[in-house]
Amino acid sequence: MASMRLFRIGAISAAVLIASACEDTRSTTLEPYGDLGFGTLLVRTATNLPRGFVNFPAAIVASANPAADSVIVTLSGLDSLTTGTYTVWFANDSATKFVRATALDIRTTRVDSTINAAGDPIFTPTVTNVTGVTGFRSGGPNRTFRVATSRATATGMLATDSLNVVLVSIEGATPGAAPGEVRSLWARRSQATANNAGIRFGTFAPRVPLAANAGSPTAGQEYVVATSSTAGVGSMTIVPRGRVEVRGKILIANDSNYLRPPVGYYYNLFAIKLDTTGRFNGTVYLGRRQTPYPLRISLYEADKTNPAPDFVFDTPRVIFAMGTRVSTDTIAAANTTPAWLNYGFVRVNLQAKASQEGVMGPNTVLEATLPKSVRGR
Amino acid sequence: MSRLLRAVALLAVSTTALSAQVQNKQFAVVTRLGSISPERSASMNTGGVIGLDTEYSLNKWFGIGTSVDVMRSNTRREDFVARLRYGNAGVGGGDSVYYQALGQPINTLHISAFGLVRLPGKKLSPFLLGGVGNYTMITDVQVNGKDRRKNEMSLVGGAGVWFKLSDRVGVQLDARAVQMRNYSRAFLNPAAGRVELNNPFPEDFPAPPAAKNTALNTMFTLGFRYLPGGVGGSN
Repeated sequence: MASMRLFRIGAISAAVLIASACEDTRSTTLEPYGDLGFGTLLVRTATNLPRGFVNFPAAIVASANPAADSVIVTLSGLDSLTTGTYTVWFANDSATKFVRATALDIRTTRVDSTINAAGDPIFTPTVTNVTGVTGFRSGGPNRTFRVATSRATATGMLATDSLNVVLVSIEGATPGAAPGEVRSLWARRSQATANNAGIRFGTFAPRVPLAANAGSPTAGQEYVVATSSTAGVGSMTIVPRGRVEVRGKILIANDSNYLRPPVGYYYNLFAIKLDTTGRFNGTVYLGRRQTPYPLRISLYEADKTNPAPDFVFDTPRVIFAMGTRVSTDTIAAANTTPAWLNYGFVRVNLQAKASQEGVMGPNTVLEATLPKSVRGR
Repeated sequence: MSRLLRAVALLAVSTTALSAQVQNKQFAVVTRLGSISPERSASMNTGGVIGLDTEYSLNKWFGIGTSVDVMRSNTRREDFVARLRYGNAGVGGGDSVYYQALGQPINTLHISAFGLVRLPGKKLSPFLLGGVGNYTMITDVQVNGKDRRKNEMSLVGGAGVWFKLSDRVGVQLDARAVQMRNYSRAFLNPAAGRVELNNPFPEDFPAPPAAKNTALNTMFTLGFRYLPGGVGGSN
């Protein structure tokens, strides 16, 4: 009898188990798994990288009046530096001799914009001048610099030395006889039209790479990230793209197809907060860019070394993919309810290491506009 | 350990002394009910199983048989995350993404042939069995939008015991390990191979264990054993 009781109990248990196993767990769209996500594309922005042009003197070597052999460098899209100084150098075409220009007359034009009562933008330029300086540190998205100097200000520039290259470097300490490693802006007379040459942004080296292979310089060849026209309109020589998705407290940016940063630069990510009228109200630093999941290796040193060979290529010099994952748990300014309330934009920036990290510079490469479902207005 | 050995020895002695009740060339039929628990990497929940065994005793020690098991269980939903996108990320407003855990019920038909060795007793007969078979997994048509099946080989091993209730009937308890060969977890994913699997939040969803090409299932069943013609058989 005990065996029969055991049998009955066992049979009933097995039947119950089978019945429960037959309960279906089909998914329906009415039961999303966790928070909803809101995604938007990272799109390349208009001209934002360092850019400009150089007016060379008419004579390659010194004219009868070297003080009149003016060199005019027009720059915009520069970072404000905290640990370095923009320094101007002259060189011959093969860059075997550098001479520093030491008396710079700089006219800075800052353009501020406001919205009038009719809703139209009003632009207000403010011009300041400094003379006789050896370098400068200021920058910003709304500033243009006209740097005027001449070959006569360059101590050591012999009358017979050719002036075929103008280079703007970032020097972290007292400049030496030649520019340091951050040789990020330059123009060549050989590429000038009527002595006017567009600035190239990248890493200067004496030789010019093949135009068809500009992203893959060999040793000794210049590495160009962006070129400017003779009117100073710059454009990146590659088209990155990506996607931002916000899901609850988590923001993910996955993007690809970047040129590696020039020496002395790195990629970072910012979120931009809007006020109640939709105007910019502040920025939040989302950190240095990393490789995608699961490695999340910092790409801060990708300008000089290769921290992640699976994602950073040496030939061509590109970053195959980048990623960022942040949570508002560690970002107090965005830890609202709902999270990321009032944040309207996410920007991938290229920024000088000599600038203040965490303060957004002007060099936005990609931008994503967060949907209203995230920003809340 | 010594106590366990003594118990086993006592059982062996007692059953051997009563072994005369299992006869040669005897058929038996066992209907079974129970559960099947796949290993974690198989991404299946514990399910139910209904089985039908037919045995033929070659002699009182050895037998052969066939087994048909019908199993039904649900996939582990959390292992099959996909996303449904609404809208266009490339235009203003972007897109909205619903994350879904794509669970579905799976029916599995398992057919095997086995050999067994038993320690026959008057009331109690423990046995060991091993065999080879074939399993057919059938996914849910409603979730997948089509009929999908997977047919592969299996290996079976197990042990059990049957209790005699009368000359014709008995109760059988057994535990079997069914190893499914060429197992594919991707087969269980209704969104396999589709862009909906791209999940940009891998850190925020628990990752299943690494997939394997075999799945070990542990099956416990309670059976009703029937011997046509009685224990003594027809001879």
